[in-house]
Amino acid sequence: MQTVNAKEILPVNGKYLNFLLGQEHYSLPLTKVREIIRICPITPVPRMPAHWLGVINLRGKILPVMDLRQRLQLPLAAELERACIVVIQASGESGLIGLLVDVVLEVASIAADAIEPAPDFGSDLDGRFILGLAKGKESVITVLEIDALLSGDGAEAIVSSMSPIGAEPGGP
Amino acid sequence: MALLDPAIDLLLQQVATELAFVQLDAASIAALGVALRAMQQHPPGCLGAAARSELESLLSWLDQQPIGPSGFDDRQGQLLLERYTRLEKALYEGEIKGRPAREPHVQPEGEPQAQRSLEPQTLPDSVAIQAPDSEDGETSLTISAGDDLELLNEFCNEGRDLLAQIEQGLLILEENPDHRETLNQVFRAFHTFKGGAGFLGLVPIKDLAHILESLLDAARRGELAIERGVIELILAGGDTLRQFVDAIEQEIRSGFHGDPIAVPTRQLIARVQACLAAEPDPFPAHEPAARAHSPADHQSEGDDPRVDRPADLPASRVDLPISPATRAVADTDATDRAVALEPVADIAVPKQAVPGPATRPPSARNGGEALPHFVKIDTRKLDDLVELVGELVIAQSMVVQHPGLEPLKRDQLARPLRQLSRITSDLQRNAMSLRMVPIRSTFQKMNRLVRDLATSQGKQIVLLPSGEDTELDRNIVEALAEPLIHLLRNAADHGIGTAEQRLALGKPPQGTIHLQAGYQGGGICISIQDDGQGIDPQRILKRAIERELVPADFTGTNQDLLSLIFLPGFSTAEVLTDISGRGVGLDAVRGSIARLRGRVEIVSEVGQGTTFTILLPLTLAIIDGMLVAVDGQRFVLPTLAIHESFRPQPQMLSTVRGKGQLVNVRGRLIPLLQLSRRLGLSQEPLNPCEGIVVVIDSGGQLLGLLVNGLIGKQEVVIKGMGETFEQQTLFSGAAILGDGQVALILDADALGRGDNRPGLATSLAQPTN
Repeated sequence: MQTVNAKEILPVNGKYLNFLLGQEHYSLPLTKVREIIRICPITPVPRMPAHWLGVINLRGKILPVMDLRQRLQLPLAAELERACIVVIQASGESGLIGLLVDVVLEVASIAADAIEPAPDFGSDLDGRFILGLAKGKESVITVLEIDALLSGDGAEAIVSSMSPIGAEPGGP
Repeated sequence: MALLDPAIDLLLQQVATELAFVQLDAASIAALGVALRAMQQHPPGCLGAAARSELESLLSWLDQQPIGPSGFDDRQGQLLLERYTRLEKALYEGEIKGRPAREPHVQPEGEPQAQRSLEPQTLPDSVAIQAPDSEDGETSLTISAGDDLELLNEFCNEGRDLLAQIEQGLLILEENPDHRETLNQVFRAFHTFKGGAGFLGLVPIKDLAHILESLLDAARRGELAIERGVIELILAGGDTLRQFVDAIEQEIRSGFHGDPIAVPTRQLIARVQACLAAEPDPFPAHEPAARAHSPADHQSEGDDPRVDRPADLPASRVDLPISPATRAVADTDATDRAVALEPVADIAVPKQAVPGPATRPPSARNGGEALPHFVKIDTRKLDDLVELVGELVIAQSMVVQHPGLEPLKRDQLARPLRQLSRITSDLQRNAMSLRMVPIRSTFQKMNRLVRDLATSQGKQIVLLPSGEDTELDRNIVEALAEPLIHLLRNAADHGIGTAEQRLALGKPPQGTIHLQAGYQGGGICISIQDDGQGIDPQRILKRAIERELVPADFTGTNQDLLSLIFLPGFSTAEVLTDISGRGVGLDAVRGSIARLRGRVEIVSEVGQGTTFTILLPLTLAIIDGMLVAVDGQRFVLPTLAIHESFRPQPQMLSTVRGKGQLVNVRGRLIPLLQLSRRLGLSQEPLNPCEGIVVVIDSGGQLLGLLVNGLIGKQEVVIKGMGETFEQQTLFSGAAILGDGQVALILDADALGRGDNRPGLATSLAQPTN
């Protein structure tokens, strides 16, 4: 568990993209977000950790897509009608990565001092993905740390990557 | 002419070939060891004490070195080169010391070229041999970021071309020493090279190029007969210059570490000077002529005084140092001249075409008359363009096949759509051709290799290349050199015997290797055919069983047995010394070809010869793929890897304990792989009779892939899958299909590396990419 002083690494302009995973509110720094596209058929890549759903064709480029729910060890989504792929710019060589989220809500400003450092989750896996917690209008928003999401720890079980999402053609 | 005992010289040459030509893989190191030991066996008189101790220290060092899977690493290579340089130096110096009569000619002349090296040598009886560090005796070159990067890069590119021209020209001259046009051409190439080096202030390079040029100039003016020794010397000089160019290029790439580039040139320069100086002695009549000539020839004005001066110095005056001022003048002179002559050299290019077509096509081609039409482009731009055009092709087919357009197609839209298709495919062909280069340059290198190999082994081998105009993707051509070198080395080392051996078998004394390139199917076919002793399949089998690569009861057609030669672990260094054995690192060859998405096959007839055939795709950017269905998903299999496909009948199938399912294809038992299970898509085995078996070449062995069905053949643009999926090994990339969706491209070799083939699993498990 790394102890991060959230205020030190927060983006200056304080803009965040809020989205839903189930009923919970999550947020990503807007500076990392390149675009948001509707869900489209995803080609699974066998023999990869389950949270890697596969790849899509983003205007001729191959874009890896991660299921954020599985990454955060949340239950699989029941319906994907409003699901979106948030394309983010990963640091380093990884380039663009797609994150599958349930519903994109809004772009909001969150003042740096409104973000509390994440409480100690003990040995809970999710802790390292969380940059901090912010108080939203109606609920607590979990601000995610992108680099932690993408840093693969090879320990994840490699399972058959077939998931209901991959096979399901969504979007128009 | 030769400074050294001819036998030693030959061995040195062999060692140098091993050191300079290819990466130091295990086979090269073994060959090196053999050559060095042979040198050690020579009677004591041939080697000076210093040389012998150097040789012994080198050998004992070599024995202690661990050899990695890909031979020596860079550091080891560097150390080896250093040690070898010391040995070479000791050898030559021992030799020079042994012949005092030559000393006066050799050493003062070394001065302008390698100033720093002189002091210890001019002292009588000083033992420069013991100089612990090769750098001591060598001028070195340091490039800094302050130097003009663009110009340096340009120099490297051009220099490489020039050196290739030189080499090619020399090979022609060797056969036909009186071919004036070629001689002039080689001379001009050196001259241009020197000009470039001088302009950039690369003094050691310029000096070496200069002295070589003088040698050629002497030949041009008829003062020096072009004979073997001279050619040898110039070739060696070319190699050294190439080492410089390589080092500079590396320095540019690595972002200027500021490491001095030290390539040993001193011995070479001394040899050249000895050659130049010693030659007039037997024919004193030529000597005045040489001096009389020099002012007349504007291109060598600066050269000749320096070259000739020591020759007419009495031996007693040798110890007089050349004053620094003289030296400076000489140097400035050379630099100025080089700068001034750069344009002259350029003008000289069209002149070459004037004397009429050269009698030999290679020299005419090397003449460079087509050069002004070339534009140099950053290859990344080219790759981007090719990729974009690939996208365009896909987008175009998406538009044309769009169901929404169907009603409109019947009317006005049909014609414009057809036109769009035609233009798109023309554009694609054009874009692809931008990356294509003829295989000629690679073949030319092979010419030299075979020549050196034949010389060093005392065999008569002629290489007959054909189809040099066959064009391939640039990247493929570059990557092809190494496997070709391997195969040719193999043919020359083991395939073709000595003249006596051949005569005893009723063959002509001269062995022939045909190196052929051509188009075949959707790809390129390159074959290397020797008329040597061939390979006995039973011997291959025996060795494979000995090495436990196949079970003792392994059977198969002769073809199957021969293919075992490609198995990793089949060949080891000891095969090299076994004259009748073959297979030096053929698994490495197979691996390199597989990385290019091609495959290699072998056909051999005992007593008749062996043919290796390499099949390659035309380009790395696009492959011909077979779209297969597996569990509702689509995957692309490279067509080049596919042998056949069929729906099996129940009687073709059998299950062997411990081996899994096998399918009998016309008497051959091929292991069957459930693709769906291999990919982890489902654990439920598919009944083979309900699917299709696709027989592929996987790691040199046949493998039957069981798929649900074939969808169709399609050309696809290969895309990288990015860092995220780096850890997976089953796929070589991804492709975007006509409907805009992504399909993954299966790596045929990786599929065979399953746990179902225990004998191969570990040895094959090297990364393919």
